[in-house]
Amino acid sequence: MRRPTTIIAEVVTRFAFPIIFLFSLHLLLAGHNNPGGGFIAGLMTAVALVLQYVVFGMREVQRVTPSSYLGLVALGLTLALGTGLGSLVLGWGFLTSGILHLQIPLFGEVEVVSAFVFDVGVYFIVVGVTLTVISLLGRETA
Amino acid sequence: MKALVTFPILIPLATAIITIFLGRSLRGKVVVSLVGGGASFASALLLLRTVWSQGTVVHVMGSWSPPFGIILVADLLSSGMVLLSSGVALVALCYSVGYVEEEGQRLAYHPLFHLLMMGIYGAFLTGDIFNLFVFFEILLISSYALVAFAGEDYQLEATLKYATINLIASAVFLLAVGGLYGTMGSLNMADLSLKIGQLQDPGPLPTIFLLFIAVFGVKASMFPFYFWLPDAHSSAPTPISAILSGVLIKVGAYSILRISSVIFVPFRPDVQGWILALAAITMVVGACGALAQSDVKRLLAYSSVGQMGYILLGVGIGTPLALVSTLLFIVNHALAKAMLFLTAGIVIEATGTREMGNMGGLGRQMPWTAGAFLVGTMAIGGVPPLFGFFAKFLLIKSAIEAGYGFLAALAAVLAIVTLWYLFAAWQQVFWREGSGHALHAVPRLMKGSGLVLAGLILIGTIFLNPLVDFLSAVEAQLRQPGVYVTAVFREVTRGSALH
Amino acid sequence: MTTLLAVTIGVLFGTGAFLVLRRNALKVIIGLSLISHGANLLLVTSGGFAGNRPPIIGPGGGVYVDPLPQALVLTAIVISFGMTAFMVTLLYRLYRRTGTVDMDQIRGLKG
Repeated sequence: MRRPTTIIAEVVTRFAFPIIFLFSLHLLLAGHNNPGGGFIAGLMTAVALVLQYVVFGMREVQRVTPSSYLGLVALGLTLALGTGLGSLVLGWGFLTSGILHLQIPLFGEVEVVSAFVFDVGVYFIVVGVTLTVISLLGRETA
Repeated sequence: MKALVTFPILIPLATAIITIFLGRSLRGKVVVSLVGGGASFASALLLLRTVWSQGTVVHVMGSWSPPFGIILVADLLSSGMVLLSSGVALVALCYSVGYVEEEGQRLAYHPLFHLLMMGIYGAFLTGDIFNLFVFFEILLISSYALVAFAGEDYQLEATLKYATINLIASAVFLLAVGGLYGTMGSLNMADLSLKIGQLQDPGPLPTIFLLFIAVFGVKASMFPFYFWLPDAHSSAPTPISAILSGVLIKVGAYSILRISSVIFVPFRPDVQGWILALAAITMVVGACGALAQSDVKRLLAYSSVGQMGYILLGVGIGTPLALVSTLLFIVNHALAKAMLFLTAGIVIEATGTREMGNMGGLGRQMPWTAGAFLVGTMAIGGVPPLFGFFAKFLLIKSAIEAGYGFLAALAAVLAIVTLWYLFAAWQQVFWREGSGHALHAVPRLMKGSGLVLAGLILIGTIFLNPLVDFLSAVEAQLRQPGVYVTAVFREVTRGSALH
Repeated sequence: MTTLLAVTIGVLFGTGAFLVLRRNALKVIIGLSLISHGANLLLVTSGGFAGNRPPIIGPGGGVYVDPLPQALVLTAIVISFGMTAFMVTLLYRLYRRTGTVDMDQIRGLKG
């Protein structure tokens, strides 16, 4: 296979990818009460994958991601819609967020909100859409 | 049943999701999609019945009470528009099953169709200006994808133009929203209505109103902003053309009607002249454009521009009679133009050409289609027994009564021009001596869909009195923004009692 | 600060409008995204921009910025992200089929 970029870029990408990915997960988890959230986390994951695509080509991206990107979008939409419907079924307005304070050993009090599920949905949608776009644009260079 | 308002939005969304999950299974997708379309229609029917019997229904999203949270409001106008569009959508969906290639249906056609409908229903139902922007973007992005769906060069080019103009319009929409929020500190329509009612100094509000009208004018193909429409509407796959011309451009007219009757009530005289002038020019350019076309779908698209001119004219005149006739016109145009596009699609499918010069004599080979097209021609052209005639007649009468003699004369002359170009098209396609084509077979589902809409027009004509009574009730509600505002804020007090 | 923002918005709209009028469709898309950035900035400014103040009420109370325009802008950014992605994909398909991004030549395609 033709080597698309320099060895420096490849080595840096190998190190940078997990860091970017982990930071995006942090943003996703921190999103409810701190800066962050599903959209920005999804974008960051997508950027990590785009970096992977630029440096290693499409095949490498497809190796680490699920095969159906539209399925990813649908999964995200389902999560987001499910959160909304849940509150509707329970008699609240559509998309009302429930809050639960849990005592978990070692972690102390953890605040769990149903809006987080919505955020995860957004995360999947953003990753799915971005991957769809780069797979459409980058098909024949793979 | 407050949750009923969310159903027309949630059902298409759920349908879209399920059809994505179904992967490449054609049969499953078609079944789910049709069931989803039917369920949307049923929920719209139920919603209208509830609104009719119990008054305006309000749903507070996320339990954030207005003016802070987003609310969905169904009054007679919005639920009526939802019912009209879901009916047209259901017919167009049946038509698509026969029309769109299998590969396209296996891919993204059905999810995109339902997302488009979700955006349209949402735009009708929302009670928040920014939420209106969001639903606009949802319906726009799915309509871009659907216009470009088959991926032919001319479709991609039309989409590029359509998307560019509408993206600029979206930026202007944001400017208007920013200006409105900066001035009034709220984006909730009912809240704005109250605040503007108590205002002493109008400040920049008339300008903001005009900006909104320009933005909605882009969707409604108002004169300086209509250039994208003939290309986009004629290039789209036929069922999508029917949705775009039948329903989507009415979203623009609806939005103008909504903001001018609820929010910017005191500033209506400031912009009336603008709307009337632009509506008159829109009528003229639409009619002239249609006269020059030889491609049947482009002719219908230009005709949509001209007919939107009539609708905007009625909105601009703004007297009770004018509004009732405008609403009647909207119903007539939605059904008839959708039907004309669908039948034109059948003819194109059968002959393999879009040039009317290459058709001819098809009336003998496809009498039902010819009959349906004739009904559409008569409905849009305003030929007496059909209710399209009453819509146009009352509109012209209201223009005379309001003292716009020149506009009334122009509308009357252009009505004849409309009749002329549509009949000429019908005659060219179906009547004159044909070249004796060997016709391709057309799926029965497609032919049936056209006939259903033709039947609806005839039913509308028979039940004209109840229809006009209903539309008068809609108009009476529009005349009293207080009803809307009270309904929204009644919900607030009830919501806070709940907590 | 507001003056600076006003000038920035003006520059964004100006350059955006210039780019939209170019023949190269890629530049048109860049121009569109500049215009939407200008609109977003105006939306932020409309809520009364106050430097680095947080849009939430902190533990000690204190001055905060109206959070609503920021939420609106976030939504608008998401939408313009999606739109730009769509436009680029669309243009790419057009380029693959026609071999040009020149609007005049693209327009010449229509029969």
